[in-house]
Amino acid sequence: MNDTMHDPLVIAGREFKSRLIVGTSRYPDPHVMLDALAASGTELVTVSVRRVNLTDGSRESFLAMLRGKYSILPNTAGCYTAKEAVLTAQLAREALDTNWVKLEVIGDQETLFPDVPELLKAAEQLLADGFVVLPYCNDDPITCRKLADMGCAAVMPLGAPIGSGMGIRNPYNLRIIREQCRVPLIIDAGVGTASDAAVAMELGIDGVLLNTAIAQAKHPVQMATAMRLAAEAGRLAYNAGRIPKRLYATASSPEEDMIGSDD
Amino acid sequence: MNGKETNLAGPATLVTLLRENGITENSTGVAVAVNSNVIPRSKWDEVRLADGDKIEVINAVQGG
Repeated sequence: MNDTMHDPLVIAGREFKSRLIVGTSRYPDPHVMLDALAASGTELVTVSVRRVNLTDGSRESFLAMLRGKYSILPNTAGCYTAKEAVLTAQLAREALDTNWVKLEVIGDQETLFPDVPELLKAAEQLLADGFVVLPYCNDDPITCRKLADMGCAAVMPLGAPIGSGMGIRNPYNLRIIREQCRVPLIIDAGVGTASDAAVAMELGIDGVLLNTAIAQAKHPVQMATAMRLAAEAGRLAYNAGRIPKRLYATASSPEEDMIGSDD
Repeated sequence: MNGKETNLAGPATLVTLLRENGITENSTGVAVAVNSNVIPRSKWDEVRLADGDKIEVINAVQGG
């Protein structure tokens, strides 16, 4: 890879210069959110869909802040069944004019781990309905392979539980998933700090989806900048090809012609 | 509508009920489902509401 400047993330034929997908939730206020999104360099941001507050006339303001600046990726967060997730995705498509969906089907409230059978069912139905499906899933190579084979545009295994900030808990599984899946891989959930994003990139993961790590940092805009740099650094390191790990030392300075050496 | 019982004065179409709640065909960023079927905004005036219909009206909010 000689051209380090042109190395886009490509999902469903669309190119993104940034390898970060960033959430819009849990920021101290909307201004910090906008500044943080800008600092992260992201071009694709996630939103949820919820019931309209019928007594509040300000409902269009949130979306208006993002429109024109970012591509919108609606999620199905909070859905526990394939049926709920499919309807939520269909409503999002109608409301937001996009057939892309971050598919989440949650198994329980405490772990927010995916419910895999429901997830697979929802993915199948949404793909049949013409959606570009980006499923949030376990770091399980078999599930990831099934989702990829089914036709999902990307597969998004978790690094750790949503909002946990625990980082990449199972790099070995992710290496297997990387080898087995030919579609883009996005680490969705678990990233806590910049090094986690770098680790994901160094593993050959194509992108990172994150929210809490930026939004709830003491200084969200600074953390967003750190994430941008970390993703860039990690990707460059991956492309550069790291040296193999060795147990013993290998001298980096010449070992010949040392002073005091005799023939 | 959105989980709340709503009484209609008489026979009504979806578009009437939505208008009464401040949502028109020009409202952006919203979508409507009746009994779990998404109704495109071009069809809002074709759907006659019946007793017990469940109507969901959604928009985008902050999400991760």
